[in-house]
Amino acid sequence: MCIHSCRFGRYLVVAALMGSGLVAAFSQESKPAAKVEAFQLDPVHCMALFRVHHQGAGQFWGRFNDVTGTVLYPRDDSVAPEFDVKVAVNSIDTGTTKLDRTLMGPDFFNAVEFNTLSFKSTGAERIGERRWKVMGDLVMLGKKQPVVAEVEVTGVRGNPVVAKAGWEAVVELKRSDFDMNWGIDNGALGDDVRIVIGLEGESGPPAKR
Amino acid sequence: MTFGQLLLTIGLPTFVGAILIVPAWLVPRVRDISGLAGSALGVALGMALVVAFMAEAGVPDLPPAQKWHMLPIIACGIVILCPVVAIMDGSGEIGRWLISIAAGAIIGWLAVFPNMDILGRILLGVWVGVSFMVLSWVSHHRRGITVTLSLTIVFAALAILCFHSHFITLTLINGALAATAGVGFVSALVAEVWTLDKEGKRRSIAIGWGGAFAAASLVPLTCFCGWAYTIGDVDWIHWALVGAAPTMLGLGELPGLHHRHGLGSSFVRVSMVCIPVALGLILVFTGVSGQEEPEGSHTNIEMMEYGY
Repeated sequence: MCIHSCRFGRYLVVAALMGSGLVAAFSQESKPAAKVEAFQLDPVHCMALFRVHHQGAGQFWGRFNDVTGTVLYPRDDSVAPEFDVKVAVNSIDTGTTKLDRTLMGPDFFNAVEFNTLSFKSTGAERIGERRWKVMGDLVMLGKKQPVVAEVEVTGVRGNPVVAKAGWEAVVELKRSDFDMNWGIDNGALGDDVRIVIGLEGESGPPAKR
Repeated sequence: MTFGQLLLTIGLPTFVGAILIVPAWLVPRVRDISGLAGSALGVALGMALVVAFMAEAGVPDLPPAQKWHMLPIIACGIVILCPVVAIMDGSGEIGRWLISIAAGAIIGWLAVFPNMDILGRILLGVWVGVSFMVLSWVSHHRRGITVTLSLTIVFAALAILCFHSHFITLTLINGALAATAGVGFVSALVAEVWTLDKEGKRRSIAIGWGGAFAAASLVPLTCFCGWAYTIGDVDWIHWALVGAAPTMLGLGELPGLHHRHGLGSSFVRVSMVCIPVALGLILVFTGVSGQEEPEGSHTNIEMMEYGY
């Protein structure tokens, strides 16, 4: 009886040790940073709005509807998002076709020669919980200039296989830095432009995308 | 578009043009200087383009950041070459052919606008060459008022086409060119009425080969540039009709018509230029729906149709 109880006790100790090892192993697996995933931007749920001062009076808003690209980002926000975003110039939408055409013309975005605007991250700095200051190069009218975007991760949702994530970025720039000078000197349009970009991307198996 | 902007972009080039044209065409001793009168309109037109461009878009980069920024660079070349071409005035058919071929080749080579393949560049070069042949021929036979009024109408019509193409800077450039050609017209009219030439006759001065060279270069150039950047309802046929209009002056010099002189004949010749111009503009205006479109662009409509 004593021999049996001693053996049983040893089994219990071994089982407890194995169990605790397994628990430790599982808990260690959940702690490391989540892997960086490639989120393909969904053009339907992405847009870029721009705002410029009109004739020294109102703030005029327009938007680009066709925004595509990729964001590299881990779901747990352990690493900064890396953006590679392209905007189709001919998707400009001010609500008035005539104004859209003027903005697509050579005096502004020159859609005939430069049909995309692009932004690519070059670095980032954390400024808060799911908030980043992302540095990158903006290419507009064929001219590359460094800009800084304040990015907020608006949400991450999904299962272990696929996920959706959203970001909102605000960029302030001077359009004259890109040689888009029309109307600045005579005060018809301001030089300072605020761009607000809403992005939503989906990660998952390539076949799904 | 503010009044100040119009004053700067159209008024300043016109003022510069007036400073060049008025003394060269109206002051008797000055206008007798070889090559001066014959280059005044050409230099003024070239300067008008350069000044209007700089008033709107600043100093162009070298090489230009955007293809249409070649316009003021080519115009600078025209300003420099105009006096040379004007001095060659009277060198006969060989000189005329040489200038025509050289102008066509150089401009066809330099002016590379978007969507212009090799055929487009050849067409531009041929257009410049033929325009110079016609206008240099006309400049020998016709009063200044006929050619300058024709050019005023053509550049004004080009400004309207550019406006419909949503190309603001080129609209203002063509406006400045029209106003400068208008200064030429007024100067030629004043010369016709109040001044006497070396032979003691009252007649306006011819635009000369310098003026013909600038006009033959700038009209096709601005046409091709406008066509290349058109975002709207202006089609190639509209540009072609208006741009080719100055060559209609050549019809007035055909046998049977060339001996007709006087204000009446000038009016008929200008009317011949107006026919393709009017046709081009009518086609543009009738082609435009005229409806105000307060609703969103097609992209939004497509998104609504997809149910997003």
